[in-house]
Amino acid sequence: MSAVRDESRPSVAKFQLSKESELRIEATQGHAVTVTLLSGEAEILGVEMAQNKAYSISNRKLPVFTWHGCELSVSGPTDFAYTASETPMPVYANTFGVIHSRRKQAEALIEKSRLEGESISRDGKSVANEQEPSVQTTQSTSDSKIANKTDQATIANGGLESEKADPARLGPRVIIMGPPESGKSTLASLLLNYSVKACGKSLFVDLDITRNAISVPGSISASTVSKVDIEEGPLLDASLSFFYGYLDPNENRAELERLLASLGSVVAEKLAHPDMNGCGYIASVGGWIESCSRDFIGSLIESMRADVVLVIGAERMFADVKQAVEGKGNIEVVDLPRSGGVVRHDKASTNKDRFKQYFYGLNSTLNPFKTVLDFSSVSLYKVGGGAAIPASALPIGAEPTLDPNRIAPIAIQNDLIHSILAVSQAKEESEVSDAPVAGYVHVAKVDMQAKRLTLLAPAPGELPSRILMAGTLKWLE
Amino acid sequence: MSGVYSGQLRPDVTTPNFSRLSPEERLPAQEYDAFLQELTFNSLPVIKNLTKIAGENIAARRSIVFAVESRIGLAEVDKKLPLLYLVDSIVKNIGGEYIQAFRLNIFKIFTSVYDKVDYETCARLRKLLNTWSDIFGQELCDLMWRRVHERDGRNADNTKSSKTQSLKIPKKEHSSSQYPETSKRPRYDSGSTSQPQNISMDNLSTIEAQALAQLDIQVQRLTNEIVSKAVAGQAPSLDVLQALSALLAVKIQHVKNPDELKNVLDLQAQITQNIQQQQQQAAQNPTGASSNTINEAQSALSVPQITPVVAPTTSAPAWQGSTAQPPNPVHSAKTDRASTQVRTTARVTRTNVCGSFDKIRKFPHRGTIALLYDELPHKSAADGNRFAKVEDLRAHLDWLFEKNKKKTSKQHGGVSRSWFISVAEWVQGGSQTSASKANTVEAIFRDVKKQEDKDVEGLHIPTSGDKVGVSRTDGDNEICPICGEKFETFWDEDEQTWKWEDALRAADEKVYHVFCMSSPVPEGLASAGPKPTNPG
Repeated sequence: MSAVRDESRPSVAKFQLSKESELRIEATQGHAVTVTLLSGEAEILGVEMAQNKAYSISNRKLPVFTWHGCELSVSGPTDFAYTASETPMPVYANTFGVIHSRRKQAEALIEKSRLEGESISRDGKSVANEQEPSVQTTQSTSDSKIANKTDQATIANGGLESEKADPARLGPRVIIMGPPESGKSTLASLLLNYSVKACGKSLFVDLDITRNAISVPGSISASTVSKVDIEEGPLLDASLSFFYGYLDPNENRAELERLLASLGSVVAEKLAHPDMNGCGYIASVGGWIESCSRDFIGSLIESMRADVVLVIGAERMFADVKQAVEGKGNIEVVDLPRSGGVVRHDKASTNKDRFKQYFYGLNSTLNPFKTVLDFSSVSLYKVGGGAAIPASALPIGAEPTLDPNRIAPIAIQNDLIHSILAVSQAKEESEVSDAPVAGYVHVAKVDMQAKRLTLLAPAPGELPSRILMAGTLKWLE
Repeated sequence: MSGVYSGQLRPDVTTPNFSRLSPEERLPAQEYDAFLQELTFNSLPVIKNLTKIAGENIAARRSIVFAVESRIGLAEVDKKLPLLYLVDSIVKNIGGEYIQAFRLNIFKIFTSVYDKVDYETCARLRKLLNTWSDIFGQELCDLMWRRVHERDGRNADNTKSSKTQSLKIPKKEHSSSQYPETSKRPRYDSGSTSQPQNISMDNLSTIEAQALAQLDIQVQRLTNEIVSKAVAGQAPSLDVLQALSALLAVKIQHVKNPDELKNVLDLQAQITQNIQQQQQQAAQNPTGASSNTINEAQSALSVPQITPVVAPTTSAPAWQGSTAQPPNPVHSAKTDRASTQVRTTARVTRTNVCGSFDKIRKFPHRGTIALLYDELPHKSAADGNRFAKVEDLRAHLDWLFEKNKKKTSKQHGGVSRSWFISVAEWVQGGSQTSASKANTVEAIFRDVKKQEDKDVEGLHIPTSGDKVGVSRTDGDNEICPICGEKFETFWDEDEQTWKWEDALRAADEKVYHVFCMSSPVPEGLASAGPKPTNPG
């Protein structure tokens, strides 16, 4: 690792990168820094750079990697900029290679059944059995396991016809786990961006409740991606988001598990859609997974119907996850090395940024709108109303009467100010805890006298629903 | 630029060569040409006026068409588009004899303009071409589309480094003797440097030139097919080779330039050799080889000179998957030998993608990298994205163009994030991007419209891109009857027509401002309605 460290370089610096090396840059806070590819080929998180185009990396730390060698110029003040030749990229590339092969197998299975004119839904079982041998001949032992997983997935799902047929048909379902700052989101971006490049599309699932890249913190979400931009990141075609309302997974674990099950079944349904053509998904969890129990990890993997779990740089977690999936069908757990150039997050500021990005977009490109509503025109709910009463606090033998998942209508109070509320897609109260959200609003003002609420909404016009959900999320603009 | 359509002109000439016309035709042409000089940007009044003049002088159409065509050839690159819009206006509004007159050279004119202009104008030209199939006929438009595709492909080739060329097939067989240097070098991605003036209109009749152009296209197409097969590591199918051979045989009769002739003959010899090898191989290995290529070849063969192809006996699906069904090793080895002349290095890497997580730490990753680079040869110079096929690249560039346009257009107050779609829509592949394109102002219109359903009921507010409007026709009121203000006119890219901005047509056929029609804004809206907030 050769370091070219230089405090706040103001001018243009040129870097010659040899084959399979990486330039790690951190822009000095608040300064404009651009990277330009002068010759050769280079990529940022798996997205190829165009030549002679200046990419702005202000306020970010980015690795620029080259497979073939390249020349780069960096202009603007950087805290550090150095080249590294020891990277886990070859292993990551092979990881992508395996995922890609699985996709091609899924595609082939779909194509085969389409040609044979088989009805997937009518006789799913026989389809799976017939296809099993063809999978085995082409792939080593690990693949025959996928076909065997059929039963397992069906139980977890409880009735998705398409899934009964053959989960291998859905393509690889990959969850990335690891302790905080291990490079989960970096690897997720890399795999996602390679997938989009090679297959034209992918499904990105973000299970990180603390720093959700698809919607806002406090939610879990999924989005199809067919275009990627170096500066803007993955461009989300269509997103689906479920509101959890807390930043701590243990605050209301039962509710989080329930949402994961809902998201998992919708994602499985999406993957079975012919348009997806066996592309599978790439999912990432937050570093908080470290604090979660083995049971929870197991149920998360099961709910999401994952068949591959990548664990980055943590032997203990790797062992834990392995145990967690024991007996849950054939789920491959893979340990991956971590990169030396891991991006560190400033937790508080990232959260703030995420909320701002939701309403105003990256670089203030979006226009949110303020809407004033009467208290009486909205119904506000809180899921569970907080943590369940610990059993020890109850009289011996008594069951807790407060179900942590119970929907509780709550009154609008002054303390609602600055809260992030979810606009539910539910039509009635009973659906509230399971329905995804249409979006999020920010409480800008609570006028107790006039009984009016001023909300910042992402889009103009009426709210799509008057059913709002509250958690503990606050955002001070 | 030299007068492409009047071969005697030297490059520095800036007026059309009117001597090519008969004395009586000369004067009207010169007059019309004087008018044409006014058309330097896409101006509706000027185009209308010129169209009107053309319509009133149908008898002098030969002169007028000559003047327009010459002017397109002479105009600076950025002034060519308005002239093509004039052609469009004349053929659409007057039609008849003018269609016949313009039809003769439209292929040449359109494609040569397309070869020169920048990307943005190309996108406009494609939209224009989209509206022409009813006018100039599907067949001619198809020909133009092919040239458009070729140019887009060449642009893509431009950006990629010479990695995959071991192939000695000339990209293009020029039928012209004007530019021998462009056809001298036999290579396969050099087409980008060759100029479009490969058909000299003076030496050949238009029909012959078109036939030759079509021949070139067919040759090119088959060559491309062989190349793409080679990149994928497959041998070219016998039928494609035979078809190409037949085409070249026709071509040899028309080529006069000795250098070019030699090229064609070389290629012909190479192909003949390849055919013989394939036949030998077929004799040794009678199982239907690459059946899918035969189907492709059949669809490619529309030129009558070619002998019909024998249909394959089997029709196994094309296994593009890298590992799903590996080809019979013995067979593929033979195919390789047969195609030694037509193969690239990509073959070696094709199947070497890691297949198991157990091996990811040791497995050579070159195959996967090839998957992400070498197998996606068409790189977009604008943003670095790569694609396997030229069409994909073009679709991407179109998308990128639209995206950048959206980004730069600040008019009407930008865009908002849309609400998430429902589960059912999401699963069915509904897209948010289409919804988020909806302009905020349009959204306000929708709301206002909802409130005012009674007044504006049944009225259709057409929307297009960023602007709302209604097509303008002659005799429209130019002033809104409600507010008394004049309408603004804008050019609708999607529909290729002029429109009144922010306007709608009411039941009385009069045009009104959308705002005027839906006002007064109700009281309630002022407090409960949406108000834009400043970012910050």
